[in-house]
Amino acid sequence: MKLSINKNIALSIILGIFTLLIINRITPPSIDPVIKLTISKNRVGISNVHQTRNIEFSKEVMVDVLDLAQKSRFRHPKLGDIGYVDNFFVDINKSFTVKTAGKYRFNVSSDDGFSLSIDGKRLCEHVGDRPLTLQSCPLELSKGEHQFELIYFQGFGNAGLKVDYLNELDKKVYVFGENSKHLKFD
Amino acid sequence: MQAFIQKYSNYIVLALILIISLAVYGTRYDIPNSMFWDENYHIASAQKHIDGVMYMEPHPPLGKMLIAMTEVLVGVNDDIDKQKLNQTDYLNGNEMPKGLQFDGFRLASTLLMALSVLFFYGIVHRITQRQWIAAAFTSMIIFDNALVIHSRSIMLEGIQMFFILAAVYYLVRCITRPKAITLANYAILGVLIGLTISVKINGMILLLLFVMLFGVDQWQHIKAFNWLALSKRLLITVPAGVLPVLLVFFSVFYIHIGMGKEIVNNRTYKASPEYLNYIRKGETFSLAAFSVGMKDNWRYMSEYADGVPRLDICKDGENGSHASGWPIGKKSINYRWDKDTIDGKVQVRYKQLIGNPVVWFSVLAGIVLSTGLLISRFVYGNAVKDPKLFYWIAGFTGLYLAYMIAILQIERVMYLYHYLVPLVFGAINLALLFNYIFRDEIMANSRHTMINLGIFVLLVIGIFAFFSPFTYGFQMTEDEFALRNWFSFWQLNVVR
Repeated sequence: MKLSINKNIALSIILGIFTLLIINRITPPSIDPVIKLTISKNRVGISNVHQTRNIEFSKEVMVDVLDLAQKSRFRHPKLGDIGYVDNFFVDINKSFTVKTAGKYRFNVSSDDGFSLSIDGKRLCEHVGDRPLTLQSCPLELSKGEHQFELIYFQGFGNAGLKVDYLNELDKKVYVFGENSKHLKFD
Repeated sequence: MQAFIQKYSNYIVLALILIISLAVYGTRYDIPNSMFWDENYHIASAQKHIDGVMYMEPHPPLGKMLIAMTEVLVGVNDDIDKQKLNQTDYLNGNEMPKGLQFDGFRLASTLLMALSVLFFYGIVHRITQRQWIAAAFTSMIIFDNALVIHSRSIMLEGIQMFFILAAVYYLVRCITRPKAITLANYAILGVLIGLTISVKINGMILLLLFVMLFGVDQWQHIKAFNWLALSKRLLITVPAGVLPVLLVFFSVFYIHIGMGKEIVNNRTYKASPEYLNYIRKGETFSLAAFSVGMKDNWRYMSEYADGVPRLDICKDGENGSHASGWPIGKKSINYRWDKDTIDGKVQVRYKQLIGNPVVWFSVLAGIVLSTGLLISRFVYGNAVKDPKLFYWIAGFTGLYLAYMIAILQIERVMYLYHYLVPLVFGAINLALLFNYIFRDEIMANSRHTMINLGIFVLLVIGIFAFFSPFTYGFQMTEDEFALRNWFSFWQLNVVR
């Protein structure tokens, strides 16, 4: 049996594949703008989340969820690298609605340090640098609107930040920013 | 109307190509109003030609002469004191005369590169005999970001490309017309090659065009292994071709040495006392001055080449790259950037040497395919369906590979723009290969083939436009930069 390929069709397929690849590459990634991050580059090294800031420049980035620990960097799965190389602060101030009152946990994984407050009260923190480590922070939340405030810093080397939450009753873990039957973010 | 279009279709196509080429290459070529990359060197050298100041340089002087010529013709800086350019070989940005404009200095490279596109069209048209094929593949030369950014500058590559494509076009013209090849053809080709080498020495790759011309000229004797006839013909064609090369090369140097009548700031470039004596006596156009001046220039070029460092990829900020990575665009060079903050957002204007990936990867694919075609013929003995086209493909694949092999032997640091010459050979090769693969469809004027080629051209233009902020220095945010940072091996660095 003689194998016959129509060259024009073959070329059309090749061109089509490359066109789709190019369109995919040049289309900006789209995510739901749920949480605003203010990322500030510090002029000097950072070793403590509460140290006096000496900001060189800042930028604001909208993300959908706080899943920013990819490839040992401060990186969003779709947006890619969104931080700076080193020595920067990230400030997050986000309101959320509790639909089911009860006991909750915020699991904060950070490299380097962070400080988390809910409704103006400090819940937990790690002020210095460290490799990516999970810290579980329990609290009681009433029904209604609450304020989430998180300060994160990256000194040098590897980086990353991820915040999950769970309701102690069903134990199912959600990424902060992801709506569930317990919390609502938009 | 239709009859008019048909009658003058070739001229209409040429005019359209020229208009598009001039628009792409020429639009606001005067910006940025500051120097980048090697412009700091060449602007100083060109001004010395204008003012009759003696200088020596690692490259032959024809390119700088033409830069000087367009600067004089345009005359936008006539009222500006440019003496500082004569006092140095590298003009620092902070020493740039106030109000200096670049319209004249950049015109030589910009205009000649825009015009050379016509030679490219002519080469492909003469070989394939199809206007639409030639016009479609000419888009690869008009809309390549690397060719555009590098040619819109006070640099030598755009000027050299004009002579390269002129020489190749002349070779193709000699071979494709129904006339016997004469010694005059060798001589004219020699003149064009001589002009190419007089801009940059790497133009010596074009000496291979003589081999191609001789191969066609003596094909019957080559096939018959008629060594005697071949030797006889060689005895006259070698001088007929090579002597014009030498004549042009040394004539350019003769003018260069003759024009250098003044020494500024005691910058003598280690010239011999004899040469300096001729300058002081004002006898620079004498043959004796040329003799010693030529030796001194040659020695300077040789010593300079020996002093150029090797590639050091561990060096911080190394812009050089190994030739093996060039076909995929490794590595890009940031010629210049200017940062601004608008409404709290950092916006950066980049002047970045980066190729159009559709053009560069297509050229690479063409070389891989044509190499396979040559292997299938010469190793596996497969039949050739169009011998003439096959040998053209062999010729341009050979030019590409010969250039790359020669470059790989060079130990000094080299840069991505040294790939522009083989890139153009590769683009011609791709056009011919397309013609070879789709020969029957093209002869039948297949609409499907035309549509495919049209889509390819649209991709070339679209991607050129997408990367054009790097080429023309349009402002970009960090996100817009990231969208264009396609491959890590390009080694693009964002400015924050």
